[in-house]
Amino acid sequence: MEVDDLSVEYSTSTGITQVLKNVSLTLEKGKILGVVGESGSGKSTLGLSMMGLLPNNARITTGEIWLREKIVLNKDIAEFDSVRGTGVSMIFQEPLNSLNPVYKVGYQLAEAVWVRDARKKGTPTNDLQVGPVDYSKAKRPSKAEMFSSLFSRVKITEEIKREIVGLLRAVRISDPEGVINKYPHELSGGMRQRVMIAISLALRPDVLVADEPTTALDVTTQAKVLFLIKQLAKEYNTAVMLISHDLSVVSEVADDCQVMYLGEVVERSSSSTMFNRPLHPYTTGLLGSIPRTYVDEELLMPIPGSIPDPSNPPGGCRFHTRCPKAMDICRTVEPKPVTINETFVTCHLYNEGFHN
Amino acid sequence: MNDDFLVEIKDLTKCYSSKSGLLGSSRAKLVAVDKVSISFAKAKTTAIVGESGSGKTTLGECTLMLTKPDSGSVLYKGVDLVRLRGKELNSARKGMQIVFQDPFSSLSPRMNIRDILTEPVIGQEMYRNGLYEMISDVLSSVGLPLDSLNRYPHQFSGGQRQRIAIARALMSKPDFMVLDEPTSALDVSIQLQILNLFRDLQKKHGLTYLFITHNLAVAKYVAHMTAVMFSGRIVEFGPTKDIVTSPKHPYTAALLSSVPTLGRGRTLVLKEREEETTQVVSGCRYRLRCPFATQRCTEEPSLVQSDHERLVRCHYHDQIEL
Repeated sequence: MEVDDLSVEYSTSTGITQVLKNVSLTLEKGKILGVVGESGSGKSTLGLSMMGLLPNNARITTGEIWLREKIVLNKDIAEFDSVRGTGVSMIFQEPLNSLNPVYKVGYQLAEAVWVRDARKKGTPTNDLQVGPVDYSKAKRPSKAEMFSSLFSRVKITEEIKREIVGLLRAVRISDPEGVINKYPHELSGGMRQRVMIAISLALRPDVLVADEPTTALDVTTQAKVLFLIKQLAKEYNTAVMLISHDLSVVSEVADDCQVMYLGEVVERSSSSTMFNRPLHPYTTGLLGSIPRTYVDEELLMPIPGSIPDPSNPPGGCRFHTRCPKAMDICRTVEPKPVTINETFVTCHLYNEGFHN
Repeated sequence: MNDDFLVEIKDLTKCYSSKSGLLGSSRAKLVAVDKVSISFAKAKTTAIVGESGSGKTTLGECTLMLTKPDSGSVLYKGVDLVRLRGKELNSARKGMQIVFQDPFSSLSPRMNIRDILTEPVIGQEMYRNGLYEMISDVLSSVGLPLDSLNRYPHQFSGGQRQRIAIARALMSKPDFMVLDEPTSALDVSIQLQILNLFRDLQKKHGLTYLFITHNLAVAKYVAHMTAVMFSGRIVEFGPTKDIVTSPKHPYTAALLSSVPTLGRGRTLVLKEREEETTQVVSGCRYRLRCPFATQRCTEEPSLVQSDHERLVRCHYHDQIEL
């Protein structure tokens, strides 16, 4: 999957807010890309646009998203019907909200398996929306239509059952036969997130977008879920985009890392480079804000202030209001991205060095 | 009563019963806090670390008598809060305050900041005399501008809201504060600002903190002493530095190994068995997940002194290599 120069705006009652500004990235098979940023940095919007789930007030101004040599999203088209689920799948932050509370876990898994098989055979899985969807004109299906369209067709055969038990085992749930007959509320947070991952697995997507998959979980469970995601990327050769506000979470598993601030990519490099030689002052600040167990630090210095209002971003470099190394040029001129030793960075500090 | 300690908890127990079956005919009993004894040293921070369901929040609530414990005692300045009721209780715990995890739900959306800050001191001397000075003092000490007084919580970001919640707690000039995961809902960069704020306030006002968290790295940054809880019991207690550098209980080691490291790879591997279980077991509560469990672990281990100032609840604390 490739995102090329994507810019997205939200129109709200107070005006137009640009949430993504010329974002590009490439997801490679079997690799994990970590996307890091504070709330308001546009990282979730990026995830949603890759799933074609942007809200109605969103508008794509430039750029496009490619999946397997095909444009799935640009300012005119949004063709996710045949790829959502099997092409791109998503794990959300709060697993209780993303599982359907009225169906048993086994049923929801079976549905995923069924959709995958139906797509492979070419049976339509969704009669409601055929062809490109224009977000502004799309007709919302009624609830009755939504229910009858999918749920009535899925039957849990022995074969499907065997497969979903295998999937649950793959995500290390100890009692899969028991779990398939349970409702989501009967499971713990970690178990629910595992079920979500199992559903994504069942779909065998090319791309998996994980939006803060461990934020709602304990540290012990978090470590296990992260480990699981990493293992799956390797085993199933899935391209994973891991979104998080915590650099340390991303550093655990990601191959490459991308830091976002107010809708812009400020730094991108391989994980090891990012954590050993961060270039952008924002990345350095983020790295310095994390308490660690193995370093004896007396006082850590946080990044001062908080993220500015995205609807009214500061001019020049967007980070200059909080940057300890801000220069005069930062307040007026937007820095151009440069590449230094395979690190992509958007900062005047390096622009200057580049010219000299 | 030892003068070094501001609050002493003894044998505190709290059970919750969950009803199930027809008309709640069968009752399952869940022991959230099981005979916990712990003391909080004056002007120091004591962290309670554990995963969800370990009873750490219930312990914090019982300390303030927000939840009434089933048995045990909470001594605050020599007074047992558990025996007090109504007005007596309220006046006895005046110096105790709490900051909750989620600043989005702990501030009333219909009160402006002035009202939020004034409410804790209504009826007190300060309300008539020097209220404005107090409010401006508190606001500046948490780093909020004075002109925020007429604004409402929704106009602030998460970090600022948590500052408001802290300011509210400071209004009644507390000496003891329960901080229940105060930074878990915040971004990492903001988290550090708030943690530093707590440290500054402690230096300035000599506050005693009970800091509840699930992250040992955070505990290490703020706390002098740490208690690790598992399934309602303290499994390890001691100076934070010692606990983080040389854990003695297998659960502490597992917790420590799951704290993400920055680009250093794993310093420790996950040392837990795979099964996740919520069932209450006899003997050592941790034995189903413990890689070192033996037959002896079906017997209840007691909390024993291992080092100077160090308490561990494990049969094999001096034999296993962690």
